[in-house]
Amino acid sequence: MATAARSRKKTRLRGRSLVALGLLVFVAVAALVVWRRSVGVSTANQMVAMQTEKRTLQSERVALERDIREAQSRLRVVTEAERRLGLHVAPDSQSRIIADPARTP
Amino acid sequence: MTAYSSPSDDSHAGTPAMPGGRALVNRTRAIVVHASLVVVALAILAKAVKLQLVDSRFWANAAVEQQVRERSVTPPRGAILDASGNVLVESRELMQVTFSPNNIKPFRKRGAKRGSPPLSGRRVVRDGLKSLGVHDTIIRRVMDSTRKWVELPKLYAPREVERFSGVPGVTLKRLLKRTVSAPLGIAGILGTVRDENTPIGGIELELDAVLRGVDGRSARLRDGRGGELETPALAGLDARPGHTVSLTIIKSLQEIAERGLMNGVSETGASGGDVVIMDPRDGAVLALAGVRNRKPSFTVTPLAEAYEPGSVMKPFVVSRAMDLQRATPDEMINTEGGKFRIAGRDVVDEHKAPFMSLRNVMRWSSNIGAIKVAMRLSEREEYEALRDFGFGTYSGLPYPAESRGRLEAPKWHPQVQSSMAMGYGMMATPLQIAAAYVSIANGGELLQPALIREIRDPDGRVVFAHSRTVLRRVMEPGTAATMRVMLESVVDSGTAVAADLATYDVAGKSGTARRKAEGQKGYGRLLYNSTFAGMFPAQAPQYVLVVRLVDPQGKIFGGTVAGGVVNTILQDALATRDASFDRRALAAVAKPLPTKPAKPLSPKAMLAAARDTARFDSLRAPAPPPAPAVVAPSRVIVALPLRASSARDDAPAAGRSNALTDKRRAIAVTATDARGDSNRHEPRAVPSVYGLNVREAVRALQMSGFNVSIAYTGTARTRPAAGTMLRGGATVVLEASR
Repeated sequence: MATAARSRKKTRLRGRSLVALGLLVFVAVAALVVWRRSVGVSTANQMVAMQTEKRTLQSERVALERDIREAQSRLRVVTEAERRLGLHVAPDSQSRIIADPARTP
Repeated sequence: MTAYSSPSDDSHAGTPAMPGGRALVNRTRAIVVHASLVVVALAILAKAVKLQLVDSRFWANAAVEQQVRERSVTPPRGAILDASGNVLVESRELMQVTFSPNNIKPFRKRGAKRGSPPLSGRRVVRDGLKSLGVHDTIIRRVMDSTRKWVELPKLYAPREVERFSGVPGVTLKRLLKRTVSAPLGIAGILGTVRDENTPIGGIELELDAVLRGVDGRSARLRDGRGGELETPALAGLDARPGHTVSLTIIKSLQEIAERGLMNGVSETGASGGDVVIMDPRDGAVLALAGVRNRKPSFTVTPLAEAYEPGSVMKPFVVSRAMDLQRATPDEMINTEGGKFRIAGRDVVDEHKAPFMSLRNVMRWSSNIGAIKVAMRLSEREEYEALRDFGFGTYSGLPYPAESRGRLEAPKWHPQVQSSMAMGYGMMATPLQIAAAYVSIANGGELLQPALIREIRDPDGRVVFAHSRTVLRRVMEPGTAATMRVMLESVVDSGTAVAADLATYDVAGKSGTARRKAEGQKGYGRLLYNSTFAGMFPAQAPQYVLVVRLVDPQGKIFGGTVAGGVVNTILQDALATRDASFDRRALAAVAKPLPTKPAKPLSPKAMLAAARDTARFDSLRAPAPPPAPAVVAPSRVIVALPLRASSARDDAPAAGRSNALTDKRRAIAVTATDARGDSNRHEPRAVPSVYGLNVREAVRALQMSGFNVSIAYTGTARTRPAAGTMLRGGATVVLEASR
């Protein structure tokens, strides 16, 4: 009788443990899912922020490249060279185009 | 607590509650309660079944509508580039800022620490607007909390308005706007874009279908607070950017043309002008510029404004007469001493002569000569000649406001035929004139003018590429060559010497035509259109240029005022690296440089030259490699060392090199002052430049009294070799490696 009672008690304990274990697994899986979703949401937010930043930077790049083009334009460079440095565009009599003998057929 | 009797407890079944014991529920009541619960459960189940199975699609869609936000994504419009790949127009994101003043409230920044005090939305907005330089009036409007909506008139870069992000009552909207880096003169040909994607005029409108791109869709999850989240489960559709369009316009040449035209307008006191530059080899339009009221014109006047061009039309009638063998270049034409009456009207020549050859008729732009040649054609033949050259028809360029000019079909008034020979009685745009001169320049083929060089899709594949399109042959190649020679004489010694260059031949024709005053009948007093149509270089044209000045003051002749503008443009283009010249072809047709006689060296300089010659004696230099007979720079005149045998005594050290003298005959050595007095230009030995850098070598050669021409060939030597006797002032070619 005592052995049977002991074994019944053991069985009952094992069952509770299983339930507890099951609950634990459930909580763990649920926590994992929540954590994974949270990470996903956070990553998605970061991606959105980075895409916004990328578009902002691209917009700045376009503006800066335009400024560079304007600064490099012949209209600006020649005007400034004439005004600040007193240079002039060489007339054709002052410039010579020499054919490259090595490439001349 | 109510206790229910157990179904197994038969002793209490159907009996009232025992006195002093727990009350037992009536079985019937229990059944009713149970049945009710079952019914409710079934109802819930049924509703669930209905929701989940029957109406599932409806509710799923409703959920998607609530949780998913779909938006149309506008793609960036394609860029417009010049022929060299420089960006002229591209799209850029800018922010539109709108305020709802009555909703601007204190707020906490995202990511701020808990417990930190909220920021004042009004203060953030006020400070932000001040830093943006917004006018006080608008700031007051934004701060007026009785207003519902205030929109800033300007658009700002995203970074500039970043501080408004998250402020309640502030809405930031991203818009794609066109950023133009093109010179002002082609703004009209490019057109503009209103809002994000509504083109107005020009290339933007004509090529909207390829520039626009394909809209995309983005789907995002919405959370309970209105936040949005991208998720891979909701696949959007990527927007496809527009195609990239490359024009035939060359930006640097365009700037040169605009600058030249603006200077020409201000120097001549003209009210405006036009420039067209075309490539006669493929019909590409390289530059277009228009000035009206001394400001760059937004309308592309070279395409949109036709006028009576005057004498620049003479070559077309004359060339047709030559093609039909009704005239020959050397025949003499009676020019009536410069005054002639025809169809009741007196025609006078500026350069009066009793007779002129046809060549001189063109050179001096004789109206009488041109009329007499034109009268050999029938009305129909003259009309067909001008029509064949493209007058009176659209050029086909993608510009909606292009004018086709005016060319009326016969029967004409008796004066019309003679008028047309002089470029009156019809109207043409500068582009039509340029396209017609292209046919003279390329040997007689009328080409389709082109403004679009290439169109590429977003993946970089070429979907359109301009190719040379011949519309028709309008003159025989021989006639075209003869006409080019005639037009060359116009520039070198005729009515347009102002267009001439020192080192290249230019061909062209001037035209000075009276202009009708706006809203008045007949020609206005002192109102002229001065035109010059030129080809450069005359032997194998790479540019066809047409310059028109409107109402120049003082000097009015096209050859002088418009020819001067052409000269300026060509000189600037030659000094520019990226003006699309085939420089090797140019070198081949360059004229010899007119050089001044070398100055006699001072005694001090002579001493320095002698010292340098002694220091770098050729005997100490390694023997120069055998010089092959290479083709010399085209503009270098070959001249030989003078009296090498007599010089040998003077320069014994140069003996070895003298042996090479004969070989040097084919080499590009220039004695630029062969005409000079030999006493003034004593023969002297070319010093050795062995061991010197290029600067030192140039200095050593110059101090010895020679001119120096540097050629980067990969070798290091002088031509002729050190020790060769040359006159002072001769040019020594210094070959150097880069």
